[in-house]
Amino acid sequence: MKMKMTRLDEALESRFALTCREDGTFRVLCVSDFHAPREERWDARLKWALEALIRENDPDLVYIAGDLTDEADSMGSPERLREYLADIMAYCEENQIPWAHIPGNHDREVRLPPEIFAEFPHCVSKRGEASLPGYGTYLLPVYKKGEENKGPVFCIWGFDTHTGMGDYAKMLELAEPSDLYYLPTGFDRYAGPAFAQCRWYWEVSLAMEERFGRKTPGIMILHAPLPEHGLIPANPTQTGMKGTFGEFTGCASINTGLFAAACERGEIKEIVSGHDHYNNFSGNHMGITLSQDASLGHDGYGDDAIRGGRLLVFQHGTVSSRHVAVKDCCLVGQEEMI
Amino acid sequence: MKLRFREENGQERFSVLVVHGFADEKNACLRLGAMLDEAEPDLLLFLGDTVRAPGTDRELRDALDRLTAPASERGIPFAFCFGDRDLRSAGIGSGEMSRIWREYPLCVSGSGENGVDVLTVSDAAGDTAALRLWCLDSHEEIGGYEAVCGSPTKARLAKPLYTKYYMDGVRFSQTVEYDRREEVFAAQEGTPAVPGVMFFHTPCPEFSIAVMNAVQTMLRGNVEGIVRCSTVNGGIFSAAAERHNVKAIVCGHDGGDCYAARYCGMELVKTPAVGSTSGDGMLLTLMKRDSALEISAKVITSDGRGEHCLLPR
Repeated sequence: MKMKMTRLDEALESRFALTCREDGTFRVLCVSDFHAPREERWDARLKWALEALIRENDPDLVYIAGDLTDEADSMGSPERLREYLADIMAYCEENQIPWAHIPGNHDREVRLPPEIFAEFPHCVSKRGEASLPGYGTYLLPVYKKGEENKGPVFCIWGFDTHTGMGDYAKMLELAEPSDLYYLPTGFDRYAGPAFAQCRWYWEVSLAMEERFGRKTPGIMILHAPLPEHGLIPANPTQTGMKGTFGEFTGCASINTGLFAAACERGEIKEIVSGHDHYNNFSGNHMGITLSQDASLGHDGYGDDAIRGGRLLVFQHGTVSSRHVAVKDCCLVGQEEMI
Repeated sequence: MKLRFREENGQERFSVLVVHGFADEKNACLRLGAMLDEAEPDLLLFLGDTVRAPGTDRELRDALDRLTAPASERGIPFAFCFGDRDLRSAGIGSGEMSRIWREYPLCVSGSGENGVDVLTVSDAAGDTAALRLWCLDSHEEIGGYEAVCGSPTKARLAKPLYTKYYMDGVRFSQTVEYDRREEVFAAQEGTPAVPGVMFFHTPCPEFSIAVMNAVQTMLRGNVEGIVRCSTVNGGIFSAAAERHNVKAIVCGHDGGDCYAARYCGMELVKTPAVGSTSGDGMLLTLMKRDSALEISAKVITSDGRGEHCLLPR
């Protein structure tokens, strides 16, 4: 008789097991905001910039935190998406470096079908639980080599932050303007993970603690920042802010409680977001580092001074992280292009 | 004791008199009696800051004997939520306080497992669940939350979101508990889901957003200053919004504030503290219209200052 798969079992499923190095470290290079255009060829500098960051930072996983494309229909055909991914992820595929992605507000599932990503042998992206709003809310567990049966030692939680408040309003069955959902709260009209996604995290995390008898340290990655990201530049001294605050934090209008969930579970070390191309700040609030990486692509707006990503290194139960800029990389034979 | 809608002139209605913030107990008891006579509610809800920091069981029992007497004398059932001042510096824990409250025969509150209590009100025939009253604990100040999260002092920032006060609030764990129970009810009862009204003492941050956008939220009533909402957002507003069936969230805490604002399809209702400049309490009347629920909210005063209707607009 086939056993019913639990929510935890489903969350722990992986294409192949991600494992720490011999010294117990696991390095995640988080990049975002490529914004491949609708019709023209994507800017070739994206591929070289990504390759430069990978060479320089030697990650065990490359994680694309959304906005692979500029518009929902940018990748007008499966062939074009295949060609795009084959081009920009060639270095990962050739060097057997696992990579994953979550959608950004410019990406939608219909144009970025998971089955095309699945054609790439080193892509470990998951669609996520069917019952959750959107797609691309999933867990990537990382294990100690040879001890996969003892449960993950490090968790990478990815969340779909949808396209904007319009998406969220549809879910709430609200009609503008009589049932207001967007207010000038000082934030932008972007959406965050829905409460149902936050609850998914909470329940999987609790179930994991119950099964393995311990909390598992982790990070969260989203495209649009949480409202709490806005606390960092508003309180630079108190949060020990580092990095550049180049534009307003375009976070969700509605706060669905993901930060509170992370605080109360007490295992999340950092929450990374993309979205705001001119920001690469980080700061600590209530024991959790809140950070934004700057854009990597050249097809959207951006700033060469900070263009890059964020390197997160897991070791001994903690996570250290820093901004990594393309300009600081050793660009073998690519200086002129970059 | 079973709560049920009552039929009046061919219409089913259920009314709740909401009171909180008993700064002057003796005066408050007199006001309470007057309000109960005027409003004749089906339920009296003590929305926190009822007995400030009782030192012992005896102290709490004595205070409750006096405060619940007006309801007991009139045979009106009552329920409670804790406010920050009930708990702060109290000599007994919230579990023990809850047990003492529930010793009173007319107290209809449950044990509030995991900080969430739900009262089901049936239709006038008594056959079917017609309304759910969700009563949640919003705890004390942010220090308690920091302790739960193992992060002392780090929540205190120069500029928190939406407020400048450092209050605890409904926590994410309670939000999940609420959502789970809604899920169980939905599985048992099917659709459409039974409508609900949610009560907790300290406002969630969305009250502040509503006040900051008074025109857009069609805010009606009196706002005296910055909303003393919870510092960390535990997601209760979004969870309720995503469930679709919570029609209003009703809070206390800020003494004279007394308003109703509409946001994401829900009414955010702030009730006045007993004896405040705005009034003494709020009468919520819930009227069944087919499968829909209409809400009226009326500020009640006990000293002849008159009534003030906030809902319907």
